[in-house]
Formats: sequence, structure tokens, C-alpha cells
Amino acid sequence: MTRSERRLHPLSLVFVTLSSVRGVIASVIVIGWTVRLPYPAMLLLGIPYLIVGVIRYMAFRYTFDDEELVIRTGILFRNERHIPYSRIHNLGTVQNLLHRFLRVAEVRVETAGGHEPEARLRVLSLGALEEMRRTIRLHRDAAKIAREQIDEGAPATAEETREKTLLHLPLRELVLHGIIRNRGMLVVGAAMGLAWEMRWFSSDDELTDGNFWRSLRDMVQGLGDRMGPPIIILAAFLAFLVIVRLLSVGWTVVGLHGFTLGKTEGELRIRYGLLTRQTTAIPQHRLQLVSVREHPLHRLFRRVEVRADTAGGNPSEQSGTSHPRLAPLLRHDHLGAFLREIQPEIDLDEVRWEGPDPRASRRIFRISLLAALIGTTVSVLSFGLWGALALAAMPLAWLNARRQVHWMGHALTSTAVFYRRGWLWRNLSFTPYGKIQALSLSRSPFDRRWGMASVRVDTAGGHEVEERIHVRYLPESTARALMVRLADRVSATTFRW
Amino acid sequence: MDEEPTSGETPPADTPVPVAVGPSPPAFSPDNDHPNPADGRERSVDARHVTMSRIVGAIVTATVALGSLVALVIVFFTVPIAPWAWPLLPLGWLLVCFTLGWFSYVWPSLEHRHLAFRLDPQSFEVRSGVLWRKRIAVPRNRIQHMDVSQGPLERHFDLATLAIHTAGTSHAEVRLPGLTHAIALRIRDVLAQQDEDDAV
Repeated sequence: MTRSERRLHPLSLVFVTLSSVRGVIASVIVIGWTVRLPYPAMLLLGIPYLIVGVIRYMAFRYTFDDEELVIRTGILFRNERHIPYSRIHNLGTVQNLLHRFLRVAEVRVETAGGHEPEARLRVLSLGALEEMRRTIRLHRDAAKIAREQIDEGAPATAEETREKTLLHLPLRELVLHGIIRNRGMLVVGAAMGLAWEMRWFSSDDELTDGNFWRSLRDMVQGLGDRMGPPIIILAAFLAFLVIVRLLSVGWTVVGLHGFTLGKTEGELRIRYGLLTRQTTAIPQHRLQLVSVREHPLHRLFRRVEVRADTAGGNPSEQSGTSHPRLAPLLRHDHLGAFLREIQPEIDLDEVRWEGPDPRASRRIFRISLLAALIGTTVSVLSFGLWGALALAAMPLAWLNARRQVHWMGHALTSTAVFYRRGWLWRNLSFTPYGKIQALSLSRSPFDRRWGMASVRVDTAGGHEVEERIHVRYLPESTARALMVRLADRVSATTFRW
Repeated sequence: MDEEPTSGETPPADTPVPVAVGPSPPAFSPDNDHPNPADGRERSVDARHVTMSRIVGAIVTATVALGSLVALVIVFFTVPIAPWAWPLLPLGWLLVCFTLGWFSYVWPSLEHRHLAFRLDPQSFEVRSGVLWRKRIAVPRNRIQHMDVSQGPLERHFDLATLAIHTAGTSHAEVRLPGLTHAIALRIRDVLAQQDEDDAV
């Protein structure tokens, strides 16, 4: 090992072994439990992972060259990866409880054009991380100075640039977010899976005797005898809903604790997490498609949620918590200012909405009609003539169709294309022309019958925002004209990673 | 934009060749065999693509026929079937085979009629689809890279597939099969000239 080469922190062994074992540990425990294996024997199963961890640790070295970060891995199968400093746009960090206790962090080197981090350093000490940050920043600033040819007078003090906080979520907001988001079912699902593995549901098993389930059943029956079954069912259902929401709140508060979105010098920095702290930085020019969601619950509290696709180094495979949104919860009246901050070239005031074909409401209604006919047939067959009550949903369906068409629209401003849809579950998406990759016009057989067409706008990195810009129910001529308008503007802009 | 596509095979003999000056995309001089596909007119792919697709369809039909025949024989000998149903099995099998076979013969020509491409100074477009019709337009300055590939059957017919890669998600790869190998290479060359003008 040469003088300037560095190794990972020795504690890496612990983390690498743990993460390799984590995948199999649930199965191992269950197998061990049922086969009555003594616990020490189960520990032996971890030894191969430890050996692999040692080998990986010995083989991993990184160096700071003049222009790039060089990472060498492997003993038998050697790999040398050169990452130019100018390409590194983020050093994301993950720190769970153990990391923080031991004062280390897992570092992900993220560059453009790729969903996986270019390199994952598991783990570095906090000092080594700071050194890496400093070195990269130094080289990047040197390159920037050389490019812009500033004379020596102004030193590059990029150390601690002022960060402007765009959004901070205190506990109150996180609770609200948890209620709206309803991730409780995740926890319930996981708990039920665990309970199944632990044989709580079966009553034949010697070990556990299905005790938990039996006592629960007895308790519910006792209450039912006193209060009457329908009330019990209703109460149980409501209790379940409340518990699920509470779980969601807990999950959110822990996972997104201290959420802060800050902006420095064209870069957005996100920090969050209570047990596992995560940090990530996104250069603003990497935002591709921005989407604003407003569900009925959001509207109740006058909030919205803002998400964005980013291209390159998408840190979407976190442990446990999902990738945070740009703004998981934002006050509705702050939306305009917020969007202006993250996408300065885009002006919401310029938007002039153009709607779909007016006949679209009839078309949407016809689909509901068909569904209603099928549903009514089924319910009449099952419940007799009372099933015909399902037809009472028809006026609602008509209302739904009209409202949907009213809230559907697209707009082309000088810098971006906008699309909105939905009247209950509202969604607004936009992307600058420079970020559009391809356009398509499609007509299904139904489209052809109605003389309509739909236009899709394709952008990069489409993982975060599930809503693509898909402008439907346009008259065919309008759709073709839209394609031409978009194509003209896209050709006039260049795409920059 | 919706005129009948002209076949890509007949060279328009008197068409003047635009000579590239300045920012407009360079044209190449057409020799007698290969016309200039970059003239913004919609063109269909080679007719031999239909034959090739039919052969592929025939292979699939034969495989399914054989497989289902084997399955049928096994079912016949293991599962008890009433005697009145015995003639139904081979009849059903024949029906499936004929349907598949007919489909394999008819569908490729339908597809061919609706498959076309267009290359103009601004973008590269592919039109496809019989029932669900789609037109994908990739602006030339958004093309990341291109592949020209040939499977064994394609090599036999001197055809190739041109795949345009973009940075998008739903249209990360836009494929155009059935091109003559030479024309595919030409198109790729023309599109590649664009690269020099764009910042990466």
C-alpha cells in the first residue's frame, strides 16, 4: 500500500458482515427455531460472511489523484475505478444508530448518469469523510476557477457557504404527514409476517400453543357477549384504522425526523432521520420532472407534496425508509415561492391551461357506465333486486367525468411544459423543455373511434414520480400540433446532465 | 405527415442532394444503391422484413404445435376422458395450430403497412402499431447513442435493426427493425454527425 492510499475504517468489517447476514438472518432464526438448533450453532453460520468481509476490507483502497478519485477493489478479480472529481455531484451519507455510536458513516459517491452510486465506502470515519469532501471541493473549485478565469484576488472559500433553508419539518408537520401518508399498513404487514413465522396463528404447535391468538379471541368474544356483535365489529374496525394511522405517524416521525431541505449554490441538500440519519445533495440542474400532489387529505389541511425525478445517482435503495420527497409536506400558500426556489427559470404565472376534447367527459362516463352495468349485473345476481341500487352511483360517475375533464389540462410556457389532472386526487407536473428526451403520440382503437389521441413526454430518471406527463383525450389535430410545438422547443434546447 | 409511405428501396434519381453548409445537418451523397433517407419523407422498411417475420411466426407455430401435441398425448393417456370427447382433442389442437399459423402469416404484412420512419433535420420518428398506433419522435440532439444489430435471420436477409437510445424512461430505446443493413448504417452515420455539435 503506497503512502497516499487509504483504507476503509477497520470497523467496516462489522458493518459489511452485518449487512450480508441481514438478508438471511430472518430465515436463519426461523430455521433454527423450528429445527431446535442451539443458538451458538447459528452464530457459526455467520463465519463465512466474516471471512468475506475481511477479504473485502483488505482489498479496498482509495487514492486522491490529481483529477480523480481512484478506487481499487478485489484481490483475485481486481477492479480499478477512476471517478473524475468534476463528475462527483454528491457524497451521500447514511448513518444508523450503530454508525453514530461508533462515529463512522457509510458514504456513497454519486455521479451523473446512473442509478447506483459509483462507489460505496462502507464505512469511513467522520474525519476521513471530511477529508474526502474537502479534497473534492478543492479540486472542483480549482477547476471552476480555471474555467472561469478569475484572477488570484478572490480566494475560493467554498468551505461553509450559507445554506438557505427552503423547508423544515418540525414534529407537528411530521405527525400530519404520517396521518396523511398512511404507511401504517407497512408495519402491520411486517408484524403479521413476523407473527406468522413465529407461529402465533396456529394452535397445534407445542412451543407457543397459539396463546396470543386464543387470548385475543377470548377477549373479543367476552366483549361481544356484553355489547352485541355489530358494534364490536365496528369498534374493532375503527380501532384498527386508528392504530394503523398511529403506526404510520410513528414510522414517519422516526424516519423523517428533522427533515430539512436547504439550498446552496445551485445544490439542494436534504437531511433527515432519527435512528438512521441520511444526507443527500442534489444539484438543481439534475431535477428532471417535478410533480405536485394534492390528495383529499392534503386539501383538508391545505398542504401539498412535491416530488421530483433526478437523473444520476438516484439514492433510492435506502434501508427501511423510502427516498424522501423534495417536500413531503408543504403549505399550499408556500408552493409558488418554493417552486421558484428550486426551479428559478420556471414561472407559474405564465401558465395558460388548455383543456382536452370536450367530448372527453362523455367518453370517461361511458367507461363508468360499462363498469356500472357489469357491477350491477353481479350484484343483482348475488343479492337479488336490491343489487340494482348500484345504479345509484351513475349520477356520481357523471359528476366524476365532468369534474375530471374540467381539471385536466396542459400548458406550454416559455421554458417548460405543464400538465395537471384529477379533481379529488390532484396532480400537477412540469418539466423544462431542456429535460425532455422524447415525445410520442399514441392512439388506441378507442382513441381512433373518438378521433382523439394522447401525447407522452418522456424524461430521464423516472423512478420517483410515478405520474408521467401523459396528456390524454386530446382531439387528434391538437395532439399533432402539440407534438410539433414541443418538438420545436425541445430541438431548440440542449440537454445537460 | 400521414401520406402513404414510399418504399425505402427505390432511389429518387433526380432528387437534388442538399449540401451541408454551416449548422444544418450534413447530407451524404447518395450512390445509386442507397438513397438519402434524411430528406424528411416518411419511408417504410424493407419488404423482406415481412418474409422474415413470417418465418419467425412459423417457427413459433411449429414449436407451440409440437409442445401442445406432446401435452395432449400425455393428457390423453393419464386423465380419464369420456369417449365422446375424444375427437374434440385433435380438433382443438388443429384449430389452435391453424389459428396461429394464419395469424403468423397475416400479421406481419399488417405490421409492415403500419411501420414507417422519418428522418428530418430536427428529429427521428418511428411510426408503428396496428391496433395501438404510436408515433415516437426523438429530437436529434437527444440521441445518446445508437446500435445496429443483426440476428441470424436478419443476417440471412441482409436486414438489421436500428436502436436509438435516449436518456428517457419509457422510450429509453427506440427500435426500428427491418431496415436494410446498409441503410441502417447510413442512418446511424447521419445521426452520429449530430453528436459533434452537442455538449455532453
